[in-house]
Amino acid sequence: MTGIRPVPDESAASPTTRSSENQTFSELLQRAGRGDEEAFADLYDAVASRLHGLVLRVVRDPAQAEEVTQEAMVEIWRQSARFDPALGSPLSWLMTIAHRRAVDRVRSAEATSRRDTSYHQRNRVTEHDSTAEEATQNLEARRVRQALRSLTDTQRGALELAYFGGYTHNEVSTMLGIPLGTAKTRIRDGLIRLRDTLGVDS
Amino acid sequence: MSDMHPLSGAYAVDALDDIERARFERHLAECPDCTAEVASLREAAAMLTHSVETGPSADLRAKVLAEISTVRPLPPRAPTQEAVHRHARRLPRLLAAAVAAVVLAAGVGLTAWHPWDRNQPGQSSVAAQVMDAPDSRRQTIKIAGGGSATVVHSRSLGKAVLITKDMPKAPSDKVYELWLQDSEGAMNPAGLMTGGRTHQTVVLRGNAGESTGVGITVEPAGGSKSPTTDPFALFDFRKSV
Repeated sequence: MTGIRPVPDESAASPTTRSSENQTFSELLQRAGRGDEEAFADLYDAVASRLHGLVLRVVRDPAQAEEVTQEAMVEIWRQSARFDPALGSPLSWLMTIAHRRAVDRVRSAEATSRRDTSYHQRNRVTEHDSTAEEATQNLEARRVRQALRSLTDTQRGALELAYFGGYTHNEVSTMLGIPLGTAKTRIRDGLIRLRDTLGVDS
Repeated sequence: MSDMHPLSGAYAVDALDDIERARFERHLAECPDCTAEVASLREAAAMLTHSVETGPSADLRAKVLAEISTVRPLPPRAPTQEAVHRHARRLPRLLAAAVAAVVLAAGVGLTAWHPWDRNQPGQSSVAAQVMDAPDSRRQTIKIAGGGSATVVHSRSLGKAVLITKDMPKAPSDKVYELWLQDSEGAMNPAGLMTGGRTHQTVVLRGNAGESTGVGITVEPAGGSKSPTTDPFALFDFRKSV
């Protein structure tokens, strides 16, 4: 996959960091749910670049991406008291909201430039080089890149078009020239392998 | 497991179209395995965001913080907490999560949490699918206070859609609540009509596949778990054409 470049192994597994981060996010969401704007500002500072990075990857147009990020942030504020740690981690909850908003935006927009597959492919390499550079600062990002190496190329390709491209599995199968039904299997198998490699299923 | 199961990954990353998503969500309400799997796959997908960090512009922070000061956070959804915690003590976390989600989804329609509950842009397409379904049936009722309401439902899709025209706004601090009636006559909450517009298209929450009708009542702001007033509009699916 051109999307996320594998990097050399790092001994940087950090589930502890992740769980203490989730603990912090849970508390901030709880306070935000009671109307604490300072707590929400702290949450914003902690997650804005991850959330906006995801939205930008899906939406692509920087101005529209900022609008979607703003909508998602306000929605998170509104729903914060309804986050339930029994149903998943705060990070997953936050990104689910943001991703859904981004996907809604691109699917309703009918943006022909984005729907042009060749445009999509052509713009990948440069874009990813810059994000890859930025992310090497980040140990968690290295772990994720490492985990992505455990996927087959076909799994990574399908997963990237779905998650970062915002395409449906039917669109993914057409774009990759694979039978209808194969894309959904690749997306699921890719996510399962990612999950098991990262050890997030606990 | 069923033939829906392989869709869990595509669902977790929003790669289903509206109609597939509606079907999969009906399946989720009955399948703890899929619910648990979706939760775990969403965790994995969220990890991918570590690899794409890009900060928004500096002034977005100020915009967001200014906007939230004008938005009231919703209250928590309390009713099923007890049930969730009772299970959580005995069961492993993910299974407990699955049970919780099923309790939420199946127990009280209104408490099924989806990030996209509000402003569903996909809703119009679900509505269109229901109206276009081969087994789609409809029924229009005149509202005593003025205007009309039409319910379109499709058993194969398990969805019902309400379309209102010129319906008076709900009184201040009241809200219109929608209900799906089951074969035993019980009214199950199926969402609120918000926004104060008199022309609305609302996809009812919950499985309309086995419902016998739809009711609309006036409820205190925030809605109720069961109707506190008599329905001012009642649709009997047997009369739909």
